[in-house]
Amino acid sequence: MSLIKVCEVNKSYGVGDKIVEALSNINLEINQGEFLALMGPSGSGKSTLLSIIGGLTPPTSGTLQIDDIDVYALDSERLADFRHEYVGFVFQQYQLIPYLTALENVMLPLAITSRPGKEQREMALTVLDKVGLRSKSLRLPNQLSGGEQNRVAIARAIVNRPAIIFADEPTGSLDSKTAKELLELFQTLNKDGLTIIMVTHNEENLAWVNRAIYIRDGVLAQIP
Amino acid sequence: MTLTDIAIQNLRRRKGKTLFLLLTFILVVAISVTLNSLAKNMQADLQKSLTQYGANVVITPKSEQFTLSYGGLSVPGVNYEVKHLSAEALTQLKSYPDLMLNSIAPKIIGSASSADNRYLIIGVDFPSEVKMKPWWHIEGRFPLEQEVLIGYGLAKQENLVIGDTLELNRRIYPIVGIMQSTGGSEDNGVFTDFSTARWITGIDSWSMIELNTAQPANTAALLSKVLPDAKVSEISQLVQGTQENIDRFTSFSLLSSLILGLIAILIIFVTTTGNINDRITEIGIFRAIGFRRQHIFAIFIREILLISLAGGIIGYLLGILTSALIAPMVLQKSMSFAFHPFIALTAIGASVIIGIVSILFPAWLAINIDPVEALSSI
Ligand SMILES: Nc1ncnc2c1ncn2[C@@H]1O[C@H](COP(=O)(O)OP(=O)(O)OP(=O)(O)O)[C@@H](O)[C@H]1O
Ligand SMILES: [Mg+2]
Repeated sequence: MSLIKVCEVNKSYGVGDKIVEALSNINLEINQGEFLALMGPSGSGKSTLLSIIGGLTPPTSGTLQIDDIDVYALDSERLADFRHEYVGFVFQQYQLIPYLTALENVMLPLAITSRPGKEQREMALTVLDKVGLRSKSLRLPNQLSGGEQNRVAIARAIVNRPAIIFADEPTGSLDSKTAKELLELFQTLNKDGLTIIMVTHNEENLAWVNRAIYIRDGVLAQIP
Repeated sequence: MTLTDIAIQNLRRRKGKTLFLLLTFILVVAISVTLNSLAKNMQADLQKSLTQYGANVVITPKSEQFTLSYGGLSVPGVNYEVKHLSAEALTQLKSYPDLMLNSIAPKIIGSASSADNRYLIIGVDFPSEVKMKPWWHIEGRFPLEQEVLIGYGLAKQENLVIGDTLELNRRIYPIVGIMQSTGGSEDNGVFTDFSTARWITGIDSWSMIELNTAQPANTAALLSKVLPDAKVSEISQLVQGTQENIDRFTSFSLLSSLILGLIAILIIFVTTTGNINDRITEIGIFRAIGFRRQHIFAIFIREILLISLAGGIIGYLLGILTSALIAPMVLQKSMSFAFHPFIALTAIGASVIIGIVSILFPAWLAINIDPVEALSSI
């Protein structure tokens, strides 16, 4: 049963007078519970595809269906609600809010729910525990190491129990030991039923995933 | 965590920017409150002196000899050719309701003598008189018919106390009250009611009529026409000039506040719009997480509400403190920390409105930020 259906997706950017074809005719189905790696050279369109599937960037043409919802038929506010409910992002630069503590950053997706503060705290502390950062929950992002910030970002992505996690090169700036810990964490989450789509450059990371797809010059090249 | 918590944490942890905005609000509100409370106090002072002044229009007979300056009642006795107002003058006066008269105090003024003294007799209606001259303090009581009340100076000079008697034109009158010193001509007067004054002096009309009116100038002008035989003088020219100065200062204060408000809008608008650039990434994160536009807008509004409210309250307090401190220099008198609810509400309300007006455009920019572009690379 496929959770995500990408159908005939094209994406082009107008740069000056020229039109850059970032993605051409992408067709892709991703099943519930998959841990998928998206690979390809720099500039091939990985981030673009990820943000289209994540409901952040509308494609120039084509459709995206997630859980039978025609995602880009939604207006921008419904799209925000959709992201809130279905999607968690782990950004490459972690993208934590600098003036919020680790705990507050993790609570962020819950701030726009009607959950009472106490429940929000408990949920946030539970996921911080899962990523091993409960003891540093009151630190600001600039008081945490890169790997720790990355884990806070993961905690924030999963706190609202989304169906899918999108991660763009989550191990890019980590040393191999920290990267391994992160992939183990992803694997645990995946075993709990979370669908994970991860952009990566690193062939070694393929050991952790169920499936890898390759993209070159905006075209999918599924390699066994 | 709520959107308000997010707003508070942002303000708390970006201290420099918060402080700058807060200071802008505080300064603008404090200066405006200082100016306007000074103006309001001047108004109140003037109002007080207007009512304390008692009479601000005086009607006297047109008579060369009878010079009556209120500061020193010239007493007939030197001048026996005293004219009087016609008896109808008072009735005529009362038939003009649009004169806006607060109080009317007609008087009979004449003289009487004893074996070795001459006295100034003042026949008044005590209730009207006291209403106009609240500073009159009476020891004893007001006289009834055939009784008298004497001024403090006279009592001292003649060694008279309540219970003594006074001989006036060969009749004996009991003294039932003594007026405490006013420093004015009352101090040497003998006060009686109208009928007693008529009995003693033989005057059966009015010697003068004192008026207190909200519009002395208009009243005086109108009465001069209505009472052609009387001399109507306005005794508040000085007050009038002061009123104009205060009006000018009040307008100046209001205009300054308005200009300050506009400057504040400009400053806050420019700084918050500039700050948006520092917040693009942050807003992109909010949007990616699933915050709606209204959520981002709500965070911005809450931030400015908190700052403008705090700035308004601190500014108001600072303003009344400053006005109380500089009042002795400006007004030559001290001023109490008066709480004017109207100024307080206006100041704090204006502060909040300034904040919201100046945040609208930057907030509009913020909610229209595209999350992907804001994050440049997700
Ligand atoms: N906002 C944009 N405007 C114009 N062109 C863009 C924009 N975003 C991406 N592109 C172009 O689209 C193509 C795909 O970009 P994308 O960021 O998806 O590549 P990527 O595979 O993620 O590369 P990297 O591995 O370096 O992150 C590139 O040629 C890029 O220059
Ligand atoms: Mg990329």
